[in-house]
Amino acid sequence: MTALVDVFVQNPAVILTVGALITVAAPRHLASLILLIATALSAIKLYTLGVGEYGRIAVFGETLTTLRIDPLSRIFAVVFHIAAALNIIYAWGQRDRAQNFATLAYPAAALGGVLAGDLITLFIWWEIAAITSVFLVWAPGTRVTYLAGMRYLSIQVLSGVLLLGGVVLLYRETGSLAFDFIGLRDADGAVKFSALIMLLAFGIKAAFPLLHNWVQDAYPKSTITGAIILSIFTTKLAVYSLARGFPGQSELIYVGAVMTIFPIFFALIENDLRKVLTYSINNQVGFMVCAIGLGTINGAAGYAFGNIIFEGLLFMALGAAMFRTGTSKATELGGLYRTMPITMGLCIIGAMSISAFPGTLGFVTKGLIIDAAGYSHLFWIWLVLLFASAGVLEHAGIKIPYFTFFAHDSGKRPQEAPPQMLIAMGLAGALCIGIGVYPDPLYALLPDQDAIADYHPYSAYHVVEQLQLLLWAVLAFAVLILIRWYPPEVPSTNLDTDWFYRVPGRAFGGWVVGASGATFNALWAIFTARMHAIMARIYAVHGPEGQMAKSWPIGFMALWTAILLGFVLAVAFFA
Amino acid sequence: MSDDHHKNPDEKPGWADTKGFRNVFLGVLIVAAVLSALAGFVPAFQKEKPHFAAEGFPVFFALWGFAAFMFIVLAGQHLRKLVGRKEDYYEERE
Repeated sequence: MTALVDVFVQNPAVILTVGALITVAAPRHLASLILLIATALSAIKLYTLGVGEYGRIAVFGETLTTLRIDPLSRIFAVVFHIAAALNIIYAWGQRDRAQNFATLAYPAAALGGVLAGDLITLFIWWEIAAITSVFLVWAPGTRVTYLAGMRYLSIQVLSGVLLLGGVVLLYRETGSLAFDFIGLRDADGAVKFSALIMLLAFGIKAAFPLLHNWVQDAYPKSTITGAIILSIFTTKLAVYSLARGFPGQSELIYVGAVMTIFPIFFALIENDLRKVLTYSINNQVGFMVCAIGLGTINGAAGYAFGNIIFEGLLFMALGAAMFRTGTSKATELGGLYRTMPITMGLCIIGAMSISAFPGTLGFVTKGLIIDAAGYSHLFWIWLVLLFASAGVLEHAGIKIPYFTFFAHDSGKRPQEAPPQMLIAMGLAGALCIGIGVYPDPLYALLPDQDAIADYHPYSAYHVVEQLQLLLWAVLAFAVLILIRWYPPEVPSTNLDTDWFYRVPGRAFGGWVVGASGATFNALWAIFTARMHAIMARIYAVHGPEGQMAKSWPIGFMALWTAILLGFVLAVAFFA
Repeated sequence: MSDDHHKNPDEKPGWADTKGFRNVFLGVLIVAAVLSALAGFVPAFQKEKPHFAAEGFPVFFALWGFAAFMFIVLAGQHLRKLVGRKEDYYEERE
């Protein structure tokens, strides 16, 4: 029993979960403080434990490693703590108990998954992440968010069920529950069904192409703080899982390349800037998936670290504008730079960082991926990644700050963002610039130290190449604005893959429910009619007025009963 | 939460809306872009062992960045005709 308690107590994810649970009962004004203390305690625990495997427990004859800290899980764990702390500061003073709980319980689940050393522990945290995060989707409390939350939960649980199915199949094949390299193919080169199922489970959470639209459906409907938290953890847990289970699988190169491209076009025509950022998540995760396929785990982990900071900063800046104006639509924003100059400046830092301008966090991490495509001599993939980089600049680097703070003047003159938001954004901005200028501490955290030893982000040609790419892309934007060819923002809903299950799927589901009900009613009517007919016939024959009742008078029955009793007495007497 | 105000006709244009700022911004951008392209011709700024022939072309990244951005915007905007619907499209159906 004591050993089991130790297993839980030493797990940083459990510390975060306990912190989240305390806020449910604690006074509301102390919630943010409790969340921050829990995050600090968890970070201290992570640091003091150091690299190693802990929390081993035996279940049904199998040993589970509930806590594994190695260089790959450590970098994700570190950035999850940073992100959780920034989110808590950003939402400081939030009184909603459900949101306060989810603000830490959901990151805790993602952290637990990252630190899981076996597939059963991963599955448990995977499902907890799904359940705790849906509270953030439901937080606004409207019918629209309720429906979106149900769709989100269905997809997340489907991912969990597939994961469990894959774990069972994998265990049958290998006899092991360890969460290590899985690989898509067996020794003969044939695709393993178990691996395919697990890849699909990871792919749903990573928002692979055609499986991506739950992100756009759910995240922008959450609250201001909820959307920021949601944007970070689920997809990065999936990236970690892919990096752990499927590194160097060439199929992922092409999946990732497609992911970097198609969201760019949807982001271009999207009016809701929070939705633009969710397409940006798809695009950014595409770079990470491509990196995993290329076998550069440093690229995937490093870029995930960076993306969590600078994409989070963009969500925060947009959230601050939304907090002050009540909208995140490009057609209703614009001109906010006049009264929100600090938020604008921090937003531009995030935008430059995600665009990978030299001197920013994006530059020192994205280069790892594009270089890997070069070293692999995959010309078209390399070209696609450069194309996608120009796309990132368009929708995240320019569109977000331009339409929020500049563009047409909306006439809105809101106050600057509240202090807690400015502090969180300021810290994120400082990390973007600080690590961008001095990346060594980040590089020291990367999983493959041999590979990073020879990497120098600030080589002259790398800086020149990147400046050419970005500055000429910005020049293209300036030209398009000057000649008025840049498309105006239009209030609209853009159909995506969710249309299939929200319109024809919903209609089909409604038809199935209606048809099932009608079939049941018809069968029930036939059954009850038959039963009534049978009962009526029995009554007609055996009822008081029936033929049988007439031919069996009471006196006749009494006589036969007396004869039978006499017979029994005689038998009993002589026997 | 929302404390916006309507436009004040007497309000001075913000610094980013002045013609001077726009000209300076555009001038700096053009100069920086041209300098980055010229830097591609400097041997010290070129990759010693390029992975692809394209990397050896001094202004390849400038041209690719410009062309990619143009293509994304000019081609991508037509996607709206295919998938664009009115704003309450889903609300009407759910």
